[in-house]
Amino acid sequence: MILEELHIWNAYREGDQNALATIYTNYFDLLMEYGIRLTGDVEVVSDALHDLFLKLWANRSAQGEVAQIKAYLLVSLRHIIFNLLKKQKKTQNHSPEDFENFELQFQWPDNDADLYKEHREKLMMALNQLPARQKEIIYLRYVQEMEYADIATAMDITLNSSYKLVHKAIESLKDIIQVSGPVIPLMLNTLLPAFKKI
Amino acid sequence: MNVSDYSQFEKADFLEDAFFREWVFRPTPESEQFWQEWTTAAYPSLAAFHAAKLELQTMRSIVPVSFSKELQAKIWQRISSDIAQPKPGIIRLHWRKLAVAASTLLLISTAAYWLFQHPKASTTSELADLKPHNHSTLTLANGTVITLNKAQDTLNSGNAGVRIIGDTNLITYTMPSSNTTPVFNTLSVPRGDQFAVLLADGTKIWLNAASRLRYPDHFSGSKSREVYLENGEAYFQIAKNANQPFIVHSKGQEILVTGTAFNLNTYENILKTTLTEGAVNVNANNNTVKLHPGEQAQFDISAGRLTVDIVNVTPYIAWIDGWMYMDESSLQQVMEQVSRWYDLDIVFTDATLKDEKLGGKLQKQPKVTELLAILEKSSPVSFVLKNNTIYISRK
Repeated sequence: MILEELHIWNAYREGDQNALATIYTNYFDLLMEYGIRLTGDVEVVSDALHDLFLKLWANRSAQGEVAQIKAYLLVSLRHIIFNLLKKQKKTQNHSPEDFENFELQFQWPDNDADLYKEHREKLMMALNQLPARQKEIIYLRYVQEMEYADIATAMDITLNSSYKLVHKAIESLKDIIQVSGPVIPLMLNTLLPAFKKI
Repeated sequence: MNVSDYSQFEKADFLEDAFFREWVFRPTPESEQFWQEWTTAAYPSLAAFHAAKLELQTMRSIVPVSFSKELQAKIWQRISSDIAQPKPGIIRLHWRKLAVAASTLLLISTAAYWLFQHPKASTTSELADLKPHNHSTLTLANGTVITLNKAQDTLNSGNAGVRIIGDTNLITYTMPSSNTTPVFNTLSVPRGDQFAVLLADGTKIWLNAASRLRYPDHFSGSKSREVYLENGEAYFQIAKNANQPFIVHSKGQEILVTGTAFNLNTYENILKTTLTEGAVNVNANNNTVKLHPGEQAQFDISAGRLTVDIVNVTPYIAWIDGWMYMDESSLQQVMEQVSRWYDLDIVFTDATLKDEKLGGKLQKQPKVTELLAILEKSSPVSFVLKNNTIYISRK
């Protein structure tokens, strides 16, 4: 955790409400986005955010050091949302890993100059068809760049299962590239100029 | 960074490589140069490199979800007003906005002040009528009932090898020296008392007044450690043992624990499991919820409904140190606690008083009259104590 974050976290633990407000401001977009991807319900996520920050405040003095505020917040939000939905009887007899959807659509700007257009389209199609849990883990791992340990906590699975789930998602993409295997050497030749432009 | 590191990489290896990911997501002139040079060599892993890069880029190309910007300010407003909402001195049990009832009584937290200022300010009387204090009892496997009224000598659970060491308000079980089948003991705490038991596995359980706990004298040879809170309230500090999960049974609810601390209150028709540390699964009516610290499971026995709430845990475990927290608590709830603390019955001479609201915190006093004096000073009630009964009437 970067020093500034550590500073804010410690100030919050000592009862500084401005620090709590800073945490809220810094993470609002991320938390809201994640919540909406999980539920598709702005109302539920708003309530969950409200509960999350009140819980943070109520338990500030009992709060320990956290390695990663972001992971901690995402994990907590997910649990609160789950319990809220449960309370509303929207989910029954489900465990927290059973969020039915994860709203995640992949889209690359349609550009004819894109050397890999065809591959991307296939990749996107495959990514868009992943089951909810695989989409979520791709999102946490490669978009939010969370560590496996934090992902495991967030999704209420073991560390080992989190590796496996990422692997499974990646595996289903593997086929697409393999199919177009022969094209790859061609791509390499055209790649160098593209790099130089950057 | 050694180039040869990457020459045999497969796609998955690239995806797991932090340096590689960092370059795809946030290229710097240095990393650009590194990978540009690397790709000029015809390594066997080049195809995997391109596949991985393409995948990472594509994974990041996600359609944004939309929500309004005003929402951020709106939610924060709710949060900050709920943080600010408790009046000075009022202990908030729950975040949910409670309408402050006009009948809210004054704070009662300054017990000592009132006692010093008004040493005799009380209409409570008839102390002579108070019966002697009841003691907790231990029922052994063979049915023998032992009164725990003094620091005991070593007892026997009914099982040859298991010794129980008695102390003031705590009994301690020791592991048997040889293999024996566990037998059950029952610890009953009457109104007016409080007691703790240290089980053979190191688990400590505090029992509040009017509570009953049944448990084996040791846990050897079983898959799980199971105890039964048959009545009342208890705080559990469970010794960690992942191989032998701890299960607390209570009125149709089960709490599954590996190592943690929590409070279980079963006084009312809603069982409240409040988690202070670790994690537990609460199971009731074929429903399971997982609790995290700061959360409370509420099992409504009559409705068969199991829900989870976020709470400030302090008020729920304050009883261990002899405190009662009130936040919009009804006078009836407060008096029921007084009844349990001092082993006295309560009678409302004016039923409308039951719903009077109280806030603040109240510490158990050595004498009930002291406590009632504090309550009288801060509320529109007066008490008469007669035949071990507190009669409550309007001032």
